[in-house]
Amino acid sequence: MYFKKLIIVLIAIVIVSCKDDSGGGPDTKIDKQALLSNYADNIIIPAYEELNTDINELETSFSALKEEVNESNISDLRQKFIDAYTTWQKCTPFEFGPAEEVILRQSVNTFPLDTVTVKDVISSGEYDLTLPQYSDAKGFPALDYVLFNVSQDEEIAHFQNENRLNFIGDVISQIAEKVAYANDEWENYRQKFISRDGTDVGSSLSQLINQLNFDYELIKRIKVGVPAGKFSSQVLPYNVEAPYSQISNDLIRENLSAIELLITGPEQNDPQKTDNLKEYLDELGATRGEKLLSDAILDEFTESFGLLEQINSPLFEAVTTEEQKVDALYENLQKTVVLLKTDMTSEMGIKINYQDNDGD
Amino acid sequence: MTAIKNKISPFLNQEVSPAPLAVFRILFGFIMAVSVIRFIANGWIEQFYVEPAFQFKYPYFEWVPYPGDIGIYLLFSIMLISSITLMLGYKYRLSAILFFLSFTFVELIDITYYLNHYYFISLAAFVMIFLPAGKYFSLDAKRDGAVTSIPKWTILILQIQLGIVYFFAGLAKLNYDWLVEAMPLSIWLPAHSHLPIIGQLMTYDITAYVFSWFGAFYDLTIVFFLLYNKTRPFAYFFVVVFHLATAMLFQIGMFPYVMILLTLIFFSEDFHNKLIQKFKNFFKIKDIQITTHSYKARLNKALIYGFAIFTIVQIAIPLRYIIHNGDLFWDEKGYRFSWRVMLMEKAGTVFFTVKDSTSGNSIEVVNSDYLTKDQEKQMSTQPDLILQFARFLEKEFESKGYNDVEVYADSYVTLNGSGSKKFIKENVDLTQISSDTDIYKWLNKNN
Repeated sequence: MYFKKLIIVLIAIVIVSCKDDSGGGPDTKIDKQALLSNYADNIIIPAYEELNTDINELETSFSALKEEVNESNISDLRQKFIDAYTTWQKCTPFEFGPAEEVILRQSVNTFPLDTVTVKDVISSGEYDLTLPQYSDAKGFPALDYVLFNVSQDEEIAHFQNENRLNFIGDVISQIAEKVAYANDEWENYRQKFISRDGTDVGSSLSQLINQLNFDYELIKRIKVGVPAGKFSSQVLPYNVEAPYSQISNDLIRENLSAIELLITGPEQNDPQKTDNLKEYLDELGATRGEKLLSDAILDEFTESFGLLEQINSPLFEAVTTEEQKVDALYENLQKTVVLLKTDMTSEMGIKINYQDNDGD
Repeated sequence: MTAIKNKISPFLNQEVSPAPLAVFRILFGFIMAVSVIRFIANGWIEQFYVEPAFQFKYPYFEWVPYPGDIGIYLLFSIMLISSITLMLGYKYRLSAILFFLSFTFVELIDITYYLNHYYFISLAAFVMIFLPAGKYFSLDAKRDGAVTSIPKWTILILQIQLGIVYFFAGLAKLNYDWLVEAMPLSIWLPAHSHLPIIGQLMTYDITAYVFSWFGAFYDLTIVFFLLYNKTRPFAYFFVVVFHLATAMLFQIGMFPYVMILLTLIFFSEDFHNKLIQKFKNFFKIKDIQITTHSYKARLNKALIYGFAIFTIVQIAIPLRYIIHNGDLFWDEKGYRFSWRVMLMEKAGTVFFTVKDSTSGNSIEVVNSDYLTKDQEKQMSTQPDLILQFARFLEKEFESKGYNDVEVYADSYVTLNGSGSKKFIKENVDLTQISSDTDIYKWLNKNN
């Protein structure tokens, strides 16, 4: 009898608690589907579209150079390369779904470049970029090297070399092919992305957060830490991203902006739209000290941009000439990793692995 | 003393039907076979045991080696076959011994994968070695004849084992975070707002409180409700609902199903006899028992005393944290083997720096060069694992030619949404720390 009564009481509690409007309705108004479709339509798909356009322009510019090797065509190709490499930074955090299928990040942006292989390949003219032995000799880093590692008075001869031209063409085509695949496939993948609205492993939110973290750690470790000698006994300037065009600092800024955008959402200036990670974290009531966790994270981003701005020379030089400023940036990035990886992920209850947890 | 003894002894040795134990054996073997197959099908042997180059060891069991790639598959083969023969009751004792040994061996390889659930399986398998669960409705019984009765203690010990799991899990929930803050459910439940029908419910704060309080009440009392005839059907209904709900909401694998099946041991002889009859009808098994006899355990008295000690030890182990008198959730000293489940949302990040103290050179370590994602995740919140990894790094870098290696950790942990705090103390050379060192000499206090 006692037990029956107890059940009734419990059921009553549940019913009452469901109808309890005095609490102000749902305490968290998170619409994950809305968030996912917002991100797909207003961040991810536009990023791939922009990259695809940039790569098409890169191809056109390259055709012009092939027609006629002159100063203006060379400089146009270089500019188109810089544009595309910069736009790539907007896509790099999305290594799941279509991008993962073609191993996009690794295919287009593995560095440091294996310059020995690139030289061999250009002099022999024999290679197949799809083979694993050329995995460090292609993508944007290869273009960075071939387009920029030449003195001005040798430029014309450099670009008239037929093997070199063929190599550039092949590298661009391979990037174009992979990017086009990701761009096209997102049309189909979009629905799947939006429908997997849980927080378990394999859910879109889990993939997004995991890749956001992975990509952020790549900035910290590969783009800044390794060149600055954090993982070796000396600094390694040639390990920066884009050591020949010297646009490393811009690329890092773009990459950070891309990740910041994932926190703020695409509608940063539109207070009406709220289906973004910032709102999500705020709804969950995630705080850090006096601040909202989301604000703490965004403050770190602001600080990163400031510290990056203070570095006057390209990272290639700065790792030796402005060591302290680079260290300051590195430390700031490390602090942000903790907030993103530990605090944010934990507050959201995102699962990062498949292993069973302890059950009840 | 003798008066109590005179009462207890007949109670423990009261002759009861062997059916409940036989059903327990079949269900245990069955669910273990399913679990092993699931583990293999998920590719977890590769992922958890073959791929990692490094293993985190259990205290006192550092000597348990990784048995090699062939060895690990062999262990899982033994586990699978013995779980099936256990279910069938074929060479029962040997099956139970092999299952216990292979399962426990695998568990002891790497502490990364420690689950209370696995610890429970090891204990249950160990207990079963000594029980006459293969002497009725089994292949052994078909050959040798079945027993007509068994002593009551052989069922009681399994009920006690399950009781300890539930009761201590409930006791562990009686803490501030769980009851007052409804943590960590306040974090975990809103993550399920996408579920149909109940999704909306998950977003209310009150839901986490109802779940927390009900969960604590359930764990503390369910065994008592299962023990009494009148409440048993209701109680079992709650067992099923409770475990299915947790199975749906949390990534906890087979545990809910194990508990749903094994708690049937609390049911009456009649219930189990009917179950066996239904089973016989379903599989069209004919009764061809040649002989029957009553079971007389060899060393019956010794077993009873043995299990009494076993039970006392099991009550003591979850309470050992009291001696340590630290911050249990933070330092996790005495946390394992205590049925503390789902109690905390803990996450961390740790960066290691290795220093050659002769040259002064220091280098940051890429954890993923040595650890898998699972290992890194577990390590980053557990001080003893951070220490193990630091020792490994010391050796690793010594072999790379570093002199007088020093290892430092820059680590942060967030517990139940409190926000990440510095975990390991700054500027503590972890190679100078041993597991006997007072933990707060090298670990920051929480807050």
